[in-house]
Amino acid sequence: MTQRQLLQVLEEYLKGRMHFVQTMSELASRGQNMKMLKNANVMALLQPLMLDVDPSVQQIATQALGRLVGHSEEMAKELVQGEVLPQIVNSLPKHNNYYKKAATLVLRSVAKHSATLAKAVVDCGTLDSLMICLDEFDPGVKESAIWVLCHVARHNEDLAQAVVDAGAVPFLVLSMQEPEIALRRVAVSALSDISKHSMELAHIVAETGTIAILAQMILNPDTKLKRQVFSVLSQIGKHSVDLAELVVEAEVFPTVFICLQDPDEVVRKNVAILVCEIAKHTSELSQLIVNAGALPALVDFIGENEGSVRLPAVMALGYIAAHAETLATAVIMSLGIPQLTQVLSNEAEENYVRAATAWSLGQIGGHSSEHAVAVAGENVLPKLLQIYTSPDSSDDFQNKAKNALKNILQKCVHLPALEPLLRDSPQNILKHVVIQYSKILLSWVLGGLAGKDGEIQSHVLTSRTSFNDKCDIFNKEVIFSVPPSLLPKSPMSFQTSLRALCLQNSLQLPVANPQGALIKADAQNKRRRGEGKGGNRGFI
Amino acid sequence: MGHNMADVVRLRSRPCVSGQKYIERRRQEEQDRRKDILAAITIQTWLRGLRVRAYMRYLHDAATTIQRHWRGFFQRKSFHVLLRNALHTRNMEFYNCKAFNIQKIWRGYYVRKYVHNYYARKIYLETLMVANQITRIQLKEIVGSKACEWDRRFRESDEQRMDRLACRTHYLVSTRQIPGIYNSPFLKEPMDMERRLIEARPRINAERFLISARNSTRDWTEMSYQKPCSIPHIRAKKPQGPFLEQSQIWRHRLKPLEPTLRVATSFTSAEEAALEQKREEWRTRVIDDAFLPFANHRKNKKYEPLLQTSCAFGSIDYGTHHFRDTDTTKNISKKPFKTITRTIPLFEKFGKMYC
Repeated sequence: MTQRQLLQVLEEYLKGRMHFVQTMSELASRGQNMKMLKNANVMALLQPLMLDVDPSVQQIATQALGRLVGHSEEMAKELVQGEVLPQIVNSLPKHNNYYKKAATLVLRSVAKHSATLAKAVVDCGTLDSLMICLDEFDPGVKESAIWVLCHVARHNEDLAQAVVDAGAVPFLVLSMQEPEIALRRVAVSALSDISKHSMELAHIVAETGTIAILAQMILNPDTKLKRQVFSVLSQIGKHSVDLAELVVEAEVFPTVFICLQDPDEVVRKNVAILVCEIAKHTSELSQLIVNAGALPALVDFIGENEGSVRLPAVMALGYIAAHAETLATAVIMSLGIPQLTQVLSNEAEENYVRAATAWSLGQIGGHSSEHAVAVAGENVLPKLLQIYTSPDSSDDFQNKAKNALKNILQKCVHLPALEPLLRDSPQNILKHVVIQYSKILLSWVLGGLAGKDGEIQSHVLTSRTSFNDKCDIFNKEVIFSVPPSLLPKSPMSFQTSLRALCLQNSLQLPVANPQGALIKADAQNKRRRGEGKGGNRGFI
Repeated sequence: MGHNMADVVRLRSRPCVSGQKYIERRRQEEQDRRKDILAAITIQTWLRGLRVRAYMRYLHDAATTIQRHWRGFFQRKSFHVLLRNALHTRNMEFYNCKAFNIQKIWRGYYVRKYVHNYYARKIYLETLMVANQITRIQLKEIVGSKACEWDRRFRESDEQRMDRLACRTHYLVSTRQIPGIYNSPFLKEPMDMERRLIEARPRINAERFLISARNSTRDWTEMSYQKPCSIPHIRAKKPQGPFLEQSQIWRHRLKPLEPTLRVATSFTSAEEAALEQKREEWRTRVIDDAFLPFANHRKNKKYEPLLQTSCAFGSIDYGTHHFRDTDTTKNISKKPFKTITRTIPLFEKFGKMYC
């Protein structure tokens, strides 16, 4: 065979290989071809081509493999078992930029599926090679390398720690300040994945002066960048009070509320998550946020959005209100409660959003009687009751509704709010309602008020039938403290209070015998007092 | 008994004492003796009582005197101490009252000012409401200005998307003979898409290179393409006469080629496309067996395989198989003629298909 024929054959072989890998690469970019490619066992064919002599074949084969592996986890596992990864990683620093990009594509596709695969990638010594890649000038290479770090660090804390130990964080911070948008996006998302796991990692990210840089990026027009920036800030701020304070000191706060009305939904949600995480920690932080004008922004946000986007904002309101009574008043005065009731009553909402709303309402109303009155004024209590008693609410939802009800009821002494609850609440709720009634009655009986007797009569009567003999929780002191001097004075109010008292004591009195009741109760009182006196006699 | 014999003798010797009176007197004396004794005892008792009481009284008085003197002495000694204590107590009470007052006032002040300052809280809530309003207004302003920006960008991206779509579906443009789908004769004027289709130009390699550089997931085999450099020509000598401006000329000369569809299409595009289709069919076909119809369904009808894979000479021209004359006896040679220039299948459809 002559030289020329040999060359021709070799050329054809090269062309064949090139053609094969190019086609594979194109096919692999579409998801629907995956099954077919798997059946054709294309991976076994591509793997040796990755170590091919010709660099362009190598590159395209690696790229094809990367795309293949990106679509399915089994292929990733196969690749890892085939022990090709160490070879890729070792050859990473030596080749040109295109190869680096293809190789990082492979690593990224393997690492993104699960933590074990990512660990396998890290075990091959990827991180060191990636640091070399990060030193390159070409922004595309940097971007792919950072993307690998992103996928690796995403899974769990050890992997993120490994990434940090390899010294990635300063590179990431530098890359954040590069002019290319794609590079910045990926760098910020890598920082977000690192800092989300634990406090130490977030601390490491925050101490390199990152937060100031991130704060400047908040008003960048690029949407995806903004998503990642808010995500990082919320991941940093969520771990501890110091970190949250660091975030707040970077003066993000009034500016952040602008982005609450960004056209992109994910950006809005991330901003709301940021506010929620910062408000969670202490009352000073909540105060700071409120002073910066969070309340109108959050309330408008809840009003304008739908679905699970609202959840962090609702929780933020709940946390703010939970810390201090002044803040709860501020929430009420910012018209937060109508919005929250609207969320609660909107049946199309997911249950967990409504559960969070119930919790928030409980936090707001639980501080004092004014708060409870404000909350109850929006007809919230019957709704909560309905949620608690309906059989198709989830356990978590019912629990939250019950706790919220209890919180509010323990402080509520407003009659019109308590009335609807008397009718059909279960025992444990009714207990609280009746205790509140007793407090009101106590003040009336002792003060001799003759106010809204008609209403309380009718309601007390209707509830009597539903309420038989379990009420020994009522304050017995009320009975003892009724002095006889009150008896003839204001018969109307006394009747009503008596009925309530007898109700508490589960005496089955006939409805239309007030005088008999008077006498009987009078006799009872006298008997009790007489016993007391007889007992004392011996002491003289 | 005082009555002895001597007395008896004496008494008997007295002449005036009669025996009877003497015996009566003696009997009376015997009878009175008990009374006298009792009387004597009574008197003695009383006297003794008197004496003892007097003595007791005397003793009592003496003791009282002593005690009185002692108590006075003792109390006078401890009086000073008592006085001092009482004074001290009174002073302390006085000071305590004053201290209570001060503490009361202080506690009230402190609680009202630092622990729960009602008025500060009230002012805080009021200013917070005002600040909220201001924040709302400011946010609205900023968002309003940004909304224009966002809107504009959204519309721009929309426009770009539509332009790209027009570029890809440029074959839908209407021609003089056939109005395109966006240029319906029932409409007063053609739709906006029509304008885009007319203005669409095929993307040249340089642009494609730039686009692919931006999307990092494209394949990089075209990366080796060099962008044409636009360094101007070095002037050797001055050109004669009033010519067009140099920049104009160079722009004209360096204007990139915008070939028409017919020119841009490769000469052997149909062949290549056919090959491509064949390759694809070869690639994608999973089942090698001919798909036979269901058992009882027209057994005689055989499935016709693809034209491209079954014919020995590659793709036959459209219409050859069914519409042309298949009588091969009059043919000069057994093989069909191979045309030198291929008819463009698109123009075969001229007048027959809708687009």
